[in-house]
Amino acid sequence: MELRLEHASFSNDGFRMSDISLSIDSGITLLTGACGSGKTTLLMMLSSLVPLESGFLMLDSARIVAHDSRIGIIFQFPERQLFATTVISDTSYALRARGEGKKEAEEKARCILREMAIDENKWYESPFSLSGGERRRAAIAGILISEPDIVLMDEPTVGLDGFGYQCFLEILKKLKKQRKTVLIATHDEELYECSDRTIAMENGRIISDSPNTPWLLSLSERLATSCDISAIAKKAAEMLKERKL
Amino acid sequence: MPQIVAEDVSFSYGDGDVLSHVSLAIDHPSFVVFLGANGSGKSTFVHLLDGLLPLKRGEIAINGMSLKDRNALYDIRKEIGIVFQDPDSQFVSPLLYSDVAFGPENYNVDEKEVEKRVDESLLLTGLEAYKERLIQTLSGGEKERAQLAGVLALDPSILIFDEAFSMLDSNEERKLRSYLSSLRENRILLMITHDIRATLDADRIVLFSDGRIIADGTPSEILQDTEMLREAGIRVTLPAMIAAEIRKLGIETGPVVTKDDLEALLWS
Repeated sequence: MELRLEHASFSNDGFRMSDISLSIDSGITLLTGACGSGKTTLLMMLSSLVPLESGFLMLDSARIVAHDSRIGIIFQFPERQLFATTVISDTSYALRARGEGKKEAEEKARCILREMAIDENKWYESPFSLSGGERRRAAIAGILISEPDIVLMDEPTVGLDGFGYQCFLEILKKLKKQRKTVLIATHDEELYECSDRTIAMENGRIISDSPNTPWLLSLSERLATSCDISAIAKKAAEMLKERKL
Repeated sequence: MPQIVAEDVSFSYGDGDVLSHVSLAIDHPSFVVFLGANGSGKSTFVHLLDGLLPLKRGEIAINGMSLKDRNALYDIRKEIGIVFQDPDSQFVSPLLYSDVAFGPENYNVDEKEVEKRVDESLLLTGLEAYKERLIQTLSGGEKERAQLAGVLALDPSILIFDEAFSMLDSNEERKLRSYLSSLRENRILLMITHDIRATLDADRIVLFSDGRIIADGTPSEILQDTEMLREAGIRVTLPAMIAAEIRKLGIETGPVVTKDDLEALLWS
């Protein structure tokens, strides 16, 4: 599903985004740029959480002016959005809010919590009893449970340890397989390896927009070997041995 | 004489120990990274050191003062400054100047000295031009530095960074690392992190897992054992994995964490 901004502008507290046009479609797109470059503001514009001063937002060729449930947004530190008395009621809240029955909503919540590797024994505990990483995954579950077609994420890997990061990569893989449109505002260079495109921002403007060449692939090409870690390491070791001799 | 000494420290929040029989000593000056996955015990240990958590089992002494001595707690806490991951949770004033001044003002430091400390702290953190700015208008990285300025104005001998790099872009991270270089000369810097990229400038890494210290050494010693890091729940970067495979083939690489490290190794 395509999400498109056309000649859109927004300003707040002296910070201005002018004449922004971009289109994102299925696949994983990264949104990069220094702190203060406008990444979060752009996500807010794309999700109609801030009013555009000019231009318009199109979702699948139809103009939208208010937040659409087909767009899910995962804010930075989504665990701050946890509020319910149990993990399962927090996760199923979005479905209950749109009229789904408790039984069906909780069944879907159980499925997604299992996918997010949240221990079953904790589903009926307070979400605040979860560890930091579990809270992050529970919060993401609460947003993805609605199965949005478009998923916007703001620095989703901040604060994740090794296990949490692997879980997050599994989530990305699944979203890609489902052909969702995913836009991730991030400083995390390692996400480059599993994404298709990068849009770079500076001072409220888009300064580049190009498909990604994964670093591992370009490294393997420079070493004239196949694109896997063992082959790359073997070639690199040979090169270093020769240099020593 | 070491400035921080911990002996046989254990701690529980209620259900089982999250920290178990931890002992270590830290000299002055030094930059020590406490590395570990979420829930490994590193934050609990550091927050016992800084007095945010009550010490009940084991002993901790800061500059010779015991954390169990209630009369010493005020003096111990004056020695310690903490920079948390989320700067928004620490600001108390809307204006940068008054936020940085807040700490020393509360210690009854005189007005002229407060002004001097604020100016020095803002200069040290590259924020001197933002003195009259509203904090809410600062970027994430600038807020992180503003937090640091507020802590530096207290002139602590021990600085604790709790996941302080995690929200920064590479440019802001580089700036913060250069500030840390100037701060480490006459202080103890303690950094809590799960990110190996934050360990690069450290003198020492203490690796936590399941409430215990499982390794303690230089970055060169710790970062090359990627298996141990992975088992401890640390995210091992792609360049570090490649370097580990190169070492298995008998070639020394030194610590490799970033793409730049690996490319420098191969093509310098």
